[in-house]
Formats: sequence, structure tokens, C-alpha cells
Amino acid sequence: MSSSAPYRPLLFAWFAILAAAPYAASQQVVESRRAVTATASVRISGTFAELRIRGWNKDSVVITGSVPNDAHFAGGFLAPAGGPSPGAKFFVESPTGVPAGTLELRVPVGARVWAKAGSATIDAEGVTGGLDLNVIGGSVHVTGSPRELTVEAMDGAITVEGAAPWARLKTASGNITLGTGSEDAAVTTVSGDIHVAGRYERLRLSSVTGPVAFNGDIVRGGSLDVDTHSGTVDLRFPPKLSADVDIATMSGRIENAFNKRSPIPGREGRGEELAFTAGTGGARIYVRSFKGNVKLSQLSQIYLKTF
Amino acid sequence: MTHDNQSHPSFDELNDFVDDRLTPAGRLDLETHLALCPRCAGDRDRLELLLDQSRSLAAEVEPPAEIWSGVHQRIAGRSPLGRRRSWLLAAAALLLVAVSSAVTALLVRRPQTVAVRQSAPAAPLAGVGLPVAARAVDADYQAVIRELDESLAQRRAQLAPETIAKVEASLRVVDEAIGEARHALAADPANRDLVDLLAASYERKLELLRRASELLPAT
Repeated sequence: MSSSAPYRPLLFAWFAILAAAPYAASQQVVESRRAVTATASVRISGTFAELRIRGWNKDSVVITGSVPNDAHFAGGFLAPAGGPSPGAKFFVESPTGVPAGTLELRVPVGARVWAKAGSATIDAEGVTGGLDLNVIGGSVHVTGSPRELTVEAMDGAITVEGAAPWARLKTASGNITLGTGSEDAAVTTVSGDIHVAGRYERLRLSSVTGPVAFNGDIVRGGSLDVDTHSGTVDLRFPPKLSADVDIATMSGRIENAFNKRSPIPGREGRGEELAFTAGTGGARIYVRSFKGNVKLSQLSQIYLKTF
Repeated sequence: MTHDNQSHPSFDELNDFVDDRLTPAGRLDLETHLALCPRCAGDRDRLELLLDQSRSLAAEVEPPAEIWSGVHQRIAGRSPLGRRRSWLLAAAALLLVAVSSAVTALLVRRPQTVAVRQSAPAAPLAGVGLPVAARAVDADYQAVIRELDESLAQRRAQLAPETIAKVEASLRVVDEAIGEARHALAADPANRDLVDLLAASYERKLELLRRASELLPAT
């Protein structure tokens, strides 16, 4: 061991500080807070790279984080004379347009949050009011049960863990995952994958070429509508499903592993059709595919335990 | 949206007002309220002051209101898979088939008038040979799509090239699906499922164009 060995850790630490210094200096700190109403409306948009939205049991909004020094952070709170603010609006713009900066937005659980960005990672948790999130790339992850949930992306992925009573999820090529269930949900994509699980009252799944997979149940009186041009459709229901099932393809195949009913040739021998009533009926399952294959089967025991 | 002095506009509505995103009627209505309500006028002033700090940022992120009013009116009248309307369209298509058959029968009974033609080359997507049902769907959507196309073209320079590439890639996917559905309809004009699927693909295209036209500048 050479005599300089004991100093090596100090040397490394010194170089680490030197390397980090320009980065730290190039960031500006964001911190703004204010008392708001329990259902305040908060809007944030711009070129941030990461946004964490957290619902908390306080009637105040706090936005913290950092953005590059050359970025422009603007906005603030609507401030009526006395009393809590009913809303806030924030904007981040970087001169290059390159997404940068990390922000954390804390809002009352009942707040409504509207966020719009280019390529960004948005992670929302614990908001029971409304969420309206829009990105081009990156990803959106929502945990909890916002009363109203709208998420739109281009090639960004959308993942929702929780039961939003009303949900609209849309992408162009990004994948969409929706779990747990909803009273009224619509999931649409052009070429992304759709994975939906849970118990639903009204559910619409729509794709052009993206595959559609559903593992779940439709409540009595509810409906599941699926349409696709060429995506495969894989539907798995509980063995005790009670529904009127109506499936037709224009040129795709139908595989029925749910029960013993066989599909029949479609109109003028094109495509296939399958229609039957499972259990006592009551729910409506309606599937139309141009040339994507459709598979119907029973949920595995693992999934059944989740209902 | 009607506001009297007791029913104040929401924060979102005020935001839309200062962002110039209300319809002309909505704007007029809100202006009337603001003229009578000092509290809301104060909120409006504060919001405008807030936005003054962001003057360097693009003020408009959506197409002009006059385009949207027309687009919304058309979209509002259509459900994603308008089955009821599709039935009517399918009925119209059946009627057309029946009339065509009758005309054909008449021609067949008069052999001297029947001319033998070479079969036409594969029809382009410009509507040749499409049934009434598909033509009606086409007409409905094409007008809206044209407006959104124009709006997107105007904003093209404001968007990042990679974003434009993503949008165009998805549009190609949808256009291919629309083309296939239209060709299938030409062969099976009374198929209401085909009309619904065609309409669904048009809906995807419309959504895509709408979203693209609402993207933030420089993203």
C-alpha cells in the first residue's frame, strides 16, 4: 500500500464536489405555498421533466423542486381579498424546449389538478378530486381514486392503479394499463397495448392495431364494448359471468375457451361470429374486430381472488 | 354557461376567459357578469396580472375558438360507435343495393344495351364504389378532419420535429386502417359492423389530430 492511500477517499470526495458544483449552480429552487380551498383548481404546464402530484389532508398547495437556471418558472395563486385561494397556475419554460427540472406539487385531496407537458414523467397519488394529465412522451402513473381522471399521451405510457369512478385514457402509441375497476371508463389507443383488469360498470376499449387484453368482470346491467381494426383481443371473465356476449370479426378468427359454444362463419363467409348468453345474462359484451383475432377464456384462480 | 350575480364563474372558467379559450357566446356571457360583479372582476384582474409575468410564454395553445366551435358542434352530435345512426346508414345502403339490383335487372332484360367493360383498376380511396353508408361517414368526418389538419399545419412550425414524426406515424397507421375498412365496405356495402369500425377508426384519427393541435408549443 502506498503512502497516499489514506487520502484517496478525500480526493474522490473533493472531485465529486467539483463535478457536482456546476450542476447545483445551474439549478434554481422552486418553492411556493399558500392556503387554498379544499377543492382548489391547480394548473401546471410547460417543459418540466418530472412532476410528482400528492394529495394531502391540508387545505394548502405547496410546489417545490428545482428547474434549470435558464428556465422560466412563473405563476402563482389566485388571491381573493382574505380567505383561501380557489386556484393556482404555474408555468415552466426552458429556452431550448428540452424537458428539465423536477417538481413536487402537494394539493388538498379534493383538488382538481390539470397538468400538461411535453416529454415528462408524471406520478400522481392520493388525489380524490380530479386529474387531467397530458403528456407527449414519458409516462403517467396514477395511484388512488380520483373522482374524474383524464390522461392523454402520444407515445407515453399510462398506468392507473386504483378505481377512478370516471376515467378516460388515450394514447397514440403508448401502452395503457388500468387496474381495479371503474363505473365508467374508456380506454383508446392507436397502436399501444391495452391491459385492463377489474370490475367495471361501463367500459369501452378501442384500438386500431394495438392488442387489447381484459381480465375482469362486468357488473349486472353493465357493458363492455371493444372495437379494434387489427389488434388481437384477449378477454378473460370469471366462470360465473352473467352476460349477453356478441362477438364478430370481419376476417379475424374467434377462439372460445370460455365455454363450449363454437363460432360460426360470418356474413357471406367472411370472418366469424359468436353469440351466447352466459349465466342469466344481464350485462352486455359487444366485440367488433376487423381482422384481429379474438380469444375468450376464463379467468385463472389468481385473478378470481382479486374480485 | 350563464352567469348572473349569484352564480359566479369557476376558477377554470376565469382561466379560460383570460386564456381566450371561451366561445364567443361564453365570453360575452362572462364579460356581462364581470361588468356587474366586482369580486369576479378582481379575480380576473389578478389572474391577468399573474399571466403578465409569463408574457414570454406562448399565449395560445389551442386552435382559434372559431375553429373549435365548428368542430365541437360536429363532434358533439356523434357517439363513437353511433349504432342507431349506423342502422339508418345501413338501411340506406340496403336501399341503394335494392335500387342498384333493380336497375341491373332492367339492363339485363335489355341485352342490346349492355356494354362489356374491362374491370376498373383497384379503386383509390377517393370514394369510388363506396356505398352510401361509407360516403355518409366519410363526409361527416372528412370536413372536421380537414379543419383539424389545417389547424395542425399552421402550428407545425411550433412543434418539435420528433413530435410531428410521432403524430404522423400514428396517422399513417389509422389511415391504413381506414383504407382497408373502406375497401371492405365497397365489397360488402350493407355491413353495419364495417360502418361502425370505419367510424371508430375515423374517431381515432380525429382524436389524434385534436390532441396534436392542442400540444404546447416547442414540445
